[in-house]
This record gives sequence, C-alpha cells and structure tokens, in this order.
Amino acid sequence: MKYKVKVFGLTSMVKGELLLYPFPLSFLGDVDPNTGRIAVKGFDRSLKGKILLIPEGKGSSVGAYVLFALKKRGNSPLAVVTCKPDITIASGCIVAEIPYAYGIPENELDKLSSYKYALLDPRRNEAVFSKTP
Amino acid sequence: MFLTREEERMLDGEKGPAVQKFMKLLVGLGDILGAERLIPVSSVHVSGISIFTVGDAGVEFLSHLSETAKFAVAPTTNPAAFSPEKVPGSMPRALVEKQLSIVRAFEKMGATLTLTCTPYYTVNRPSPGKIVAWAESSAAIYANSVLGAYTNRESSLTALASAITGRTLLYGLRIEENRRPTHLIRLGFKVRSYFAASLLGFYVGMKLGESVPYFENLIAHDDLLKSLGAALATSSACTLFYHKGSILKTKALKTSTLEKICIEERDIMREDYPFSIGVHDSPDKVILGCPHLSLRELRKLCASTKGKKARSDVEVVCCTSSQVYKEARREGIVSKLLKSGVKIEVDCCPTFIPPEYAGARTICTDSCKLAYYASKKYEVYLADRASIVKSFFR
Repeated sequence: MKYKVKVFGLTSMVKGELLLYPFPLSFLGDVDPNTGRIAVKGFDRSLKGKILLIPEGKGSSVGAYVLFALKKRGNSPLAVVTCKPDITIASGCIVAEIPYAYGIPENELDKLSSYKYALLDPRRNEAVFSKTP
Repeated sequence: MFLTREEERMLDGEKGPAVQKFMKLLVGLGDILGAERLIPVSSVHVSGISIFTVGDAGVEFLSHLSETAKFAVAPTTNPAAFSPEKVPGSMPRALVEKQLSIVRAFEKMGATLTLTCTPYYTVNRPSPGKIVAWAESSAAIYANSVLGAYTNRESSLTALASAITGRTLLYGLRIEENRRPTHLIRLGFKVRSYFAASLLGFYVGMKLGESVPYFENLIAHDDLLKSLGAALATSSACTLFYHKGSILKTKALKTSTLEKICIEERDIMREDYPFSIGVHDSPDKVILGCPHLSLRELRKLCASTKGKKARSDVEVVCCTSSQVYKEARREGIVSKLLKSGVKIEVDCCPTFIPPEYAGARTICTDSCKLAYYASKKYEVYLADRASIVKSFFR
C-alpha cells in the first residue's frame, strides 16, 4: 500500500517495523518515556525503534516534551505518522529530531492493521506499507 | 515558505543549534499551517513553567535547552507551582528541586521572571497593532481583545521558538481578514461581576467553539474583560472577541450578515457545567485571582472586607503577581488584607496543584477557568465575589 504524505525531518528513506495504534494518542500519560511503551487499557506495546502510525494526537501540548524524553533515553520511535497534521506531535518530533509525516487517510487504518512494515520516502513524499520486510 | 537571508542562515545553524532547532520548528509548522512567511515579534510570553503542567519530561527538556539557548526576545513567564521566594513546606523536596530547576533554566536563557498569567500588569504590555507571541490562553485573548495586539494562542514550544528566534508565523489571527467577527451577541442583561463575566465567557465558548464573537452591547472595564476572556478561552479555542467601546475598530466591522445570538442571564446559569454554581457552606479554600488579580481588584477587595475578618475555618487566598503585590503594599492594601485574614500568594498558580499538596478538597472561586481545571481533582463551587465576602467574612 502506498500513500502520498508530507514528510518532515528526513533526508533519506527510513524503513522499519510498523506499530499501528488506531486511537488518538496522548503522549503525556499514554506513553512511558522510561520504557518506550504505550500502556493504555487493552494495549501494551513498545514503540521503540518502530514507525508509529496513529490517527491523531490528543490531550496536553506537554506531550511534545515526552517525545524529547523518549529520544533522550533511546526509547523513541523511528518515526511518527499521523492521518491529519497534528501541531503538538509535529512540534515534539521536530524538537526531538524524530522524523514525522502526515497524510494517511483515516479510513485506511483498518486495512493497514494487517501490515507489518513501513517505509517513509522524503524525496517522493510517500509512505509505503508492506506485510513482509 | 519564504525566508529572508538571515532566516535562512538561522535555519542552516549559523546562529547555533538552539536557534536552528527552533527555526526548524517554525518552518515545519509553517508548512503544515500554510504560513507564507515569518514575521518579527516585539513581545513574547511563555507558558509551561509549573512543574505540575510540564512534568519530568519538561524539566529535562528545559534544562537541556538552557545549556545552549539564549532568548533573542526576553519573554515574560507564566506562574510556577509556588513562589521561589517562599518554598512551601508541604511539597516534597524532589518536586521543589524540579520546580526550581525550571525557573533557573528560564532565568539562564534570559527570561524576565514575572511568574504571572497577567504579564500585561507588569513590564509586558504591548501597544495596539504590535505583533506578539503569547502562550497562556487567557493572556493571548487579552492581548488581542483588550490591548489590540496581534497574537495566536501559542503553545509552550512555539512561544519558546519566538523567544529564541525573534520570529513567529504569519498566519491565523495575525492576518487582518481572520480577525473579523463571526457572531453578533446581544446581551439581555448587564455584566456587573467577575462571576457573571466569567460565566458568560464560559457559556459562549461552549456554545460557539472556535469563533470571533462580537458582544455588541457589552460595556465593561478591563478586569471584567479579563474574566470573560479567560473563561471563553477555557471552554473554546477562541482567542479574540469584540465588545462595545473596544480599542479595536468596531465601527468598520461589517456585522449585518453575522449570525445573531441573544443571551439572557438565565442562559449562562446552566446545570451541566463540571462545577456547581453557588456558595458552599464551608469550603476548605476560597481562591480569588485566576487570572491573577489587578491592583484595582485588590483595592476593591480591600474596601469590601474593611473591618471584617475571614472565618477561621476557611482559608481565603488571593493570587497576584509580585509586581502588583509590591504596588499594593506601597498603597497599604496588603497589610489591610492580611489583617482581614486574607492570604496573598504571588508567582504561583493554584489551578493544577494536586489536592494532597494544597490541603484542600473543596474550593470556592469566581473564575470558570480555575473551576473548570480544578474540577478534575477538587469539588468546586463558583460564586460571585460579593457573596463570597458576605459568606466568609464576619
């Protein structure tokens, strides 16, 4: 699956395991910077080193600082991708130097739940999802 | 986005890593928001000072940033959890240290430590038409609507970006056509108290969401407008409003095509707010001063409590800036208020202090902003300042 997106903070392609969290995420509260885990009711997985795909952010704008803390502790995601542009997440990613992209149509998230890998291409502004590496 | 030569150089890192990082932030957000270019700012107010709002991650970020960053435009700062001059014994040492390190980080970068949500009562009062970057929603709406400055509602990070680079994004409420009113509001009652102004703002924000309301028959002094704006910015993303006699040029506004809304006093007294309306018999604490009290408000409070004393079972607290406090002390107001049993706190914001450190569970206030945020952890009653004085002073 290939989508046109807008990529920030990348000069060359990045490829990695996909972590899809299909609900709005609050970095403050939902993510533990000490472990890199998203720990909410019914969902407990690490985002460390993964390409995190979420529909959008929610909650406190202080979430931006959590992205910085994740990066500093070596627990950050490889990149964060949202559907709609998200100012808080974009801000956090830019100051924490974590690549950020937006533009996946929200109604595609269901379909993408069976995909395991993602690739972000800043030159073509594309996100490509696959089931095998 | 168009960048000047100098801005290009900042982005390339010629002015150091901090300027580069925050230039990247502005350019990145400018891309997302469709801003055409950057514009210099003459004043900045930063939020995210209290340990209870930024948390451990914020402490870490700000301490790290202060190692390399210097402010190009010295910002004023929002309140802390407590005054650095008066560290409370009730707070664990580790929390105190974290709070002090945040304050030190801002000081090191060159901030003017006003520690207030009302910078406009201190050294930061921009003149009409100035381009500014203010975080703290109650201050941003005041800057636009009462002072006639041009700001968006900045986040902690975008305000920091403006302080470090001296630039902000040209978009949103910095563009004249986005400042036109969207709704015309006619009031069927006179707004006389902070309580009524606050409830009106809260109600309109809930009803309209992001909008630019024009209160066509509202005549009110700046302190009432402060209450109204703070509540409006709490229940909505609204950051600009107009009123009768506004400093903003209301005569040139085209209002005939706007949606008209009539509001009666009974409309704003709703039962579905997250706080109760009315005086509680015996709250643990009465808090006035969200946003921080002006000198005029302190004078009025002093006059209304003259010869009276606060009930011993209720702690009555007033919050203001240390700048206003000094002026009040010079006028002799502070000693009179203290004599009436009123505690005056400076440099701090009680709103996000967890109950275990505040020594209170039930709060009475006249600010919807405080009531709304505090209602997540406290039982909150909203009442008129006159009723508060009547109920809690003997």
